[in-house]
Parts: sequence; structure tokens; C-alpha cells
Amino acid sequence: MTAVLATAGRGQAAPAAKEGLTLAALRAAGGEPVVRAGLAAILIGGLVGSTISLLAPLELHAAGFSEASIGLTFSGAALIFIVASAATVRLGERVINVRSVLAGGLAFALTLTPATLSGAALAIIAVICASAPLRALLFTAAYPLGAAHGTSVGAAIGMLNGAWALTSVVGPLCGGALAEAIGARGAYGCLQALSLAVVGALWLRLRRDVAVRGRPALTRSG
Amino acid sequence: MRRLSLSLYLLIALAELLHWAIVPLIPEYAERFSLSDFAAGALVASTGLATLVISVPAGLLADRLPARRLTLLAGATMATAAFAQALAPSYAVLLAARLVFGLGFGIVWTAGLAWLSEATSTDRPPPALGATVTSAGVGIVVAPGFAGSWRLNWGWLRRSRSPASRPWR
Repeated sequence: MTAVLATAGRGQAAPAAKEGLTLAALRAAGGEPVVRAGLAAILIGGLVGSTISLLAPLELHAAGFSEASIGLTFSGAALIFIVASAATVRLGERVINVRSVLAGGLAFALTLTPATLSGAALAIIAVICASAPLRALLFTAAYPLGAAHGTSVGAAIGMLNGAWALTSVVGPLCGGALAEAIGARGAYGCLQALSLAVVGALWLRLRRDVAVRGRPALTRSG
Repeated sequence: MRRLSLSLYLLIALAELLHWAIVPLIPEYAERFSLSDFAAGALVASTGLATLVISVPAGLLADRLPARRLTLLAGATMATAAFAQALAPSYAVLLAARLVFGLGFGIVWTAGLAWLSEATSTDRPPPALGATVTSAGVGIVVAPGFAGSWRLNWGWLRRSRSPASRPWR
């Protein structure tokens, strides 16, 4: 695969070396509204997704579900994820924008409600399946939004990937600790509150940005 | 452009496949190297940790150096680490291979996407970047079944239990 890639894109010009290799580049990328929206999408999707991957199988197992049926449930959710992600790419800028991240993040937080209110297996399955398409929207939109920042695309994408990796490590650890301390429903409630807080903070920050420098531009030159 | 996109999507799908293929193999590794739950968990977490460490530096490097070169290097690193995992005679080698794989994985996800972004000539955020998530999803779905079937039908590349293997607690 690498050998095939080596022959692809040869005509692409190498990027010119840019100023501000380290902190300045990260600060510049992180200061862009579109990159912040991408980061929020990854944080919400990564934290909630990785915690569900830990708690939901444990709860379903406790409810008498076999390993095969748990695997089947997650496979179904993964298929929903793929279809929703492909649809997001297909729709392009109509859904890959800051407003969709805000709406998707809010809806994603609300999909946790059944698991916060009830520990029933049906509620857990509903959360797994309902959250999949919204997580697909958040993840699929995050990278194009990060790349919309023109001057330090690598830094922006590196931050997004770093955030994803962080949530994949921290999510299960904190989710497990929370579930032990206050129960699974409490852990889902905390995740829901955290997701709403991230969406709220992003919304407030964007409002401030709009007031200061106009609507967040999706163009690279913007 | 189309060839580059497709090649990168395939590379990312393969990277995810290799990343998640370890899940159904964990019980076998645990038995083979007498691993504790923590040691087995470290095998799964190591790739994520390496990705966490490398992502931001890789992104900064991709802004400075040709992202193409970084991506190719990372792809070769992942392939080498995959072979090392298959042939690992001990837990230490296996864990080291997973860590090296994680470094390549993190660079592919960062420099590869930066490369794809550079290659798009439009002035808009390229939806093509979003398709990397779709291709990753395909790799994640296929990985457990692929690894399980491979193990069932063809077994390990290295069947014999190495004398170097010892319990890790």
C-alpha cells in the first residue's frame, strides 16, 4: 500500500517551510473558530464513544446478553456509523460546517438520555444505535473543518488526532471510575452534562467571534 | 488526485484494520505469554498512547517537511511493525512493536491528511478529508472478523512457543 502511495501524488509540490514551528503554529490553529469546532466535535465524539464502548458491553452482559449479541449490536452500530459518515461526505458543505457541529453535538448529548434515565438493556441499545450516526457526523466534519484553517493544516490535524487519542485513553478510564463511584447511569449523566458544556462553550465562543470578526469563514483564505 | 485519495483511504483502512485486529487475538496472546489483565490491556492501549505522543509533533513536521515523505515513511514503519507483531517471540517485543506501530499510525493519520489537504486545489474545506473517517470505519468493522478468521484458518506465523517468552505480571 505504501509502495502504491509512493507513486501517487508525485506532482504535488512540497509545502514551503512555514514560520512558527511550535507553539505559535499550535496557537494560531487552535485560535481559529473552525478548528475549535473540529476539536469540540472530536472531544465530544471521542469521550462519549470510548466510554460507551466500555460501559455498554458491561451493562448488556449484566442484563444477560451473550458476547455474540453484544458484538452484533456494536457491529450494527458500526455499520450505521459508516453509512452516516459516507452520507456526510456526500452532502459536503451542507453539513460539514460549524452550525452542524453545534446541532450534532447537542443532539449527540441528548441521545444519552435513555441511558441516564434507565439502566434497561433496551435503553442501552437505543443509545448505542442512536449515537452512531451523530458520532459519524461529528468525526467526519472535524477533519475538513480542521483543514479549513489555511496556514497550519498539519498542526490543526495533529491537534485533532491528539485530542482523539487523548479521549480514547482518558474516556474509558474516567468512565470506569465514574461508573464505580456513582453507577453507570450517573456516568452517562456526567457525560451528557460534559457534552452539553462543550457545545455551550463552543456556542458562546463562536458568538463572541462573530461579534468581533464576523461569521467564521469556511474558506481557507478566511 | 483521485488515485492519491483512494490510496490514502486504503492505507487508513489498513491501519485501522491492523490497529483493531489485536482485539480477538488478545486471549491467545494472554495464554501464549502468560499475561495479566493489565499487561493485556497495555497491548491495546499502547497504540493509542503512541498516537497521543506523536500526533502534534507529526502535524508540526507536516507543516515543515513534505507530508508525502512523512506519510510514506510512516506507512513503511507500520508495515514493519505489523510483521514484528506477527513474529514477536516475547511480550516485550510485541509491546515494542505495538508502540512503533502506534507511532506510524499517528503519523499516517496526521501527515496523510495534511498531504490530502495540500493536494486539494479548491479554496474550501475538502469533504475528501471526511471520507478518511468512513474508510477508517470500514477497517474497524472488518478487523475483528478478519483477524479471528485468519487465526482460525491459518494460525500464527510463528506457532512454536519461544523459550524467551515468560510470564508478565
